[in-house]
Amino acid sequence: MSTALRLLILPLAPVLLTACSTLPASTPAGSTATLALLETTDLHANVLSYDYYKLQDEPSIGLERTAALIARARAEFPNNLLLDNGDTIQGTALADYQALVKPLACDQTLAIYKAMNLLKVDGGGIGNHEFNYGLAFLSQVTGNQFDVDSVDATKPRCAGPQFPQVLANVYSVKSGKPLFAPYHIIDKQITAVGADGKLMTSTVKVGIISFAPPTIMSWDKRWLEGRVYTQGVRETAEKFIPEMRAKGAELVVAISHGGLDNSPYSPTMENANYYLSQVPGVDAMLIGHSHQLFPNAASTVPQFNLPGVDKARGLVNGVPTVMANLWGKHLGVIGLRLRHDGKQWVIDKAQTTVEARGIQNADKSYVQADPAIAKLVATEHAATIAYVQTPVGSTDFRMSTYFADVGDISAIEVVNQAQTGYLAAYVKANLPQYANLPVLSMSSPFKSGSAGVSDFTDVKAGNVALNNAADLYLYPNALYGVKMTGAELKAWLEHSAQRFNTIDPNQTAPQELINTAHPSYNFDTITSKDVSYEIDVTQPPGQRIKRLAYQGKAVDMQQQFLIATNNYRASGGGNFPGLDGSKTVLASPDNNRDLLIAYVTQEKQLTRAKNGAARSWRFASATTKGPVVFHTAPNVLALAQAAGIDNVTLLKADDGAGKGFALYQLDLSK
Amino acid sequence: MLAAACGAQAQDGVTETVAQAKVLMRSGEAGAAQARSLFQQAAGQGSGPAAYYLGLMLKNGMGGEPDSVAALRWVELAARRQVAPAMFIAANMLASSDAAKARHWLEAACALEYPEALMQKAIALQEGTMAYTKDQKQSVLYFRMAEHAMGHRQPEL
Repeated sequence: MSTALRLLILPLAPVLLTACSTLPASTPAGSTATLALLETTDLHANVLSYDYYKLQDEPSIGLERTAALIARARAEFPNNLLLDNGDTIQGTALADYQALVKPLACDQTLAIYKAMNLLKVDGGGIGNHEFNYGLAFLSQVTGNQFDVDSVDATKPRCAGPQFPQVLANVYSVKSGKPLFAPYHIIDKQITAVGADGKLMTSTVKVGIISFAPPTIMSWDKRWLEGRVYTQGVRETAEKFIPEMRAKGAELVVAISHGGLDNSPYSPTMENANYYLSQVPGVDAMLIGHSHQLFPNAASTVPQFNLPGVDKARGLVNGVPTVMANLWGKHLGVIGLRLRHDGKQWVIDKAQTTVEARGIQNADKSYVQADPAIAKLVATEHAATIAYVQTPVGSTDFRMSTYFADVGDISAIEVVNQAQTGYLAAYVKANLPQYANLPVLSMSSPFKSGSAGVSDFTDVKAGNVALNNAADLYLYPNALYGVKMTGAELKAWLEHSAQRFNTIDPNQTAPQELINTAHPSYNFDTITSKDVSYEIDVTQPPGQRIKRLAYQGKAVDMQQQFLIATNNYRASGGGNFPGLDGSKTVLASPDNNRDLLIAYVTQEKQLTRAKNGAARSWRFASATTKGPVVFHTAPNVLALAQAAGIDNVTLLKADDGAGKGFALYQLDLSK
Repeated sequence: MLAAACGAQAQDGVTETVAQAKVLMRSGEAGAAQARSLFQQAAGQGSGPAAYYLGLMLKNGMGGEPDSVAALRWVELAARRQVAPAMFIAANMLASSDAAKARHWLEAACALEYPEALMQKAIALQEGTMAYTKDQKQSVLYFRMAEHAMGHRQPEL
């Protein structure tokens, strides 16, 4: 096109510009442009800034706030592509609701995709968590018709997102073809500056290709085994990028759901992007999965100090690279400076900028949410809240931890029952070699006032809903089973009993019962009719567990037990003797809270007799000359009495420390 | 090229030794002493997992008397070799004696997204322990990160 003609066109209507820009070779050599790649990653279905378990706003997360960053970046970079890295559809109660509780209808679109459609996302990759709900669900909600076993080929194509989704390294066993389109080439119309310094319109062909961690095959084995297979990230890139170039891609953007790792390359490696950056033809990388910020000059993450990684400028072996943290907390922004060489657009890497912008302002406040998103997903949001509040069962007694330190098991036993039931069933089905071993469970009071007088588990008699289960089981642990000898079991209980100070029976001054240096979540106890023991707080740590018996007989120190606990404890949390991963026989993927919910759902009605009365431990009897005291909430003594704790009295309704606690006395002689 | 091939072969040999030692470690007391010896050999050849398992055996008195000092030494060596579970164990072993070092290892394990470390940091932020300033918001986020990390935890070393 002649300069004269171009000058003539420039002031004309955009519609005419668009028509002309599609003409081949319309962009002269020396033209320049900036194209911003905007990255969201690991959104995990955090559409809104909301915590569904706490049922309250959580302004530090949520795509509704990332939206503000997107709007700003678009104003700054009129040429832009908004691309999502994956791990998009799973991770909140909203996601579970739409996948499991009230599975999405075929003509419906997932709430997160609705929000992304509103934001006019230009393309997306697929992460590992996309596979969590199975292939049929993924096929449906992405508007695909996967040709794989477990997906009904006769079902119609359902609603999906309005942007192309790509994934290059996951293949159907049945067809040998990639599950998704491996790549897509976006004809992106941009405004450029001609060699003569005047504005003009051009088109840049941007190829997007995505990769999921090949380790999905083990993480979602139950859905994927025999149905799909993966190929290595590097090999896949080497195969498809030349094909993308041959089809006209001027730029190749790798959307790779993984982090950086310079361990020797393998086709099954989880975080292969260090090697991906070395594949010829990769112009930019949008990475994720490891929930980090990149670039970040202040980061101490070892992978960001690898040779060839510039954590300040956002380069990996010279390739502009961004990772935008998780949950919509950040937006990745790569400002690609482009120069046209007469044939195609090429990147001027020296001028390219890389940033990860946060939704938190310098004054610690957060950017405003885009109200259109809350409006768009209001129905799904309300339904999820209703789901979280739906009763799964009921209890005829109040389950609390106000007196857990002195023997109230009302909030402990149900957890132990759920854990025992799970482990026993697992052993029966999968570990016949342990079928004859007794199965026990340990659990602790997670909330015992350390964060204030309201920081106790307290589920009132009546309905038990999902959010109550979060109160009974605070932490996001997974069920683990360990095999221990009687001696190791005793050592475990001894370590737990460090929750108490050593009480001197001859001291007349008041003595504090609780050793606050040993937190309540490390006070593991058994609640089983089969087990009994005493804790003698007059003895020093390590010598306090007395009369430990199983089914009425003293526990043989060589006898073996299976004990249900959680991953934190089984892996060494709290430095309990023998608990460091070496005794683990079951590392379940199932969350303790979820199996508690399942237990309550199955039991329907919890009763004090059945679920809150099996006290395995008591304090060893001792006569003290002075009072033994402890602090808990005021006005709750009746709860201790209802739980059968008859050796506690209220000393002062206000313990005088100014934090609202009351002072109670424990009579060890009873 | 030949050197690279030899290096890979040696690496395979170490991996095999560690696998064999793990079987022995789990076969009970009969194989424990030999397991220790094999782990020591592989740890001497640069294996992080071998140093980690040797540390656990020493910590628990498997195949010999417990030796918590030597156990910590091996576990920390494994941690320096980027073994996340070793970082977590080191953090817990050191929590009551050397808070700064404990926190260093906890942070290192968090950076590798080790779920239990994220969990422990969440608790520390919640309670203001391990020299962390109490921060409920950060704590909630770390709990969620721990939960998420459980969804794609690393296979056993």
